[in-house]
Amino acid sequence: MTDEASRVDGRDPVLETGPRLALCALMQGAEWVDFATARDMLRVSDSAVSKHSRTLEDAGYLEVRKGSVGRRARTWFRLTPAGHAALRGHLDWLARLRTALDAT
Amino acid sequence: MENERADTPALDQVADARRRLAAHARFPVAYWVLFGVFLVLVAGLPIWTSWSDIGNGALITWALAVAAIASVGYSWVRRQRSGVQLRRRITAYPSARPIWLAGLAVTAAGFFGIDALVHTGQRGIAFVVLPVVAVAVFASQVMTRSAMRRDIEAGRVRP
Repeated sequence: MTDEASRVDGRDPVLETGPRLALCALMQGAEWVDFATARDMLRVSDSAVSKHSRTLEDAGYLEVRKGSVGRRARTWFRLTPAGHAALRGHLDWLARLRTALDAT
Repeated sequence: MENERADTPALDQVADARRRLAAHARFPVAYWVLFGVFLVLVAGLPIWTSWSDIGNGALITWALAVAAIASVGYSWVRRQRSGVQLRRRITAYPSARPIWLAGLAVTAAGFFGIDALVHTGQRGIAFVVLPVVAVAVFASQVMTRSAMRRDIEAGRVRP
């Protein structure tokens, strides 16, 4: 199935690798989540958060803000409207898939 | 490390992430204790101002100003330090909103009720009503917060 065809039924291949789906789900419920908190909550490595957040940012699903609290540098993530829509579609597709599998 | 969860179904990972995020909507016990004290102070304003010795308002004004500044400061520090900034608008939480509105109505009715009692010379009854109003408002706030947590866990938060 091509990426275009996948997106028609809600499935989004971008969200199917590593912790991207969980990362987006985390940010769906908040306004901003910082890098270290996302890493700790998802129990993944710094490099995993870094790599997958960049992919999500490139896809237009994630907004990244750099700042600092006191003398500590911080990176904050936020889901964009496109990210919200993609996540909703993908979760709906997964829910439909689970229902279909339960029925068989 | 990334592959630790590879055999976990995607929807379970999502539910787990949401549960962890929802824990950030929980306030510590100290917050609720201070909130309860603040609530009694504010709900009983008509009673406190009816006493002539503190009725000039300066003491009450200062107490309220300190409480308001402390509240704003706590909220700001919490948002900066926790690593999670939850949505502030109550409209983002669909099941918390009706409870919040009911709490607002109870607060307004309680405050004006106590005020009316004091102005009709029934300060004794106002004293009895005060804890009832404070408990009702407190309960509505706790319920609102719980509903916010449930909305986060269920993925119902609106952007």
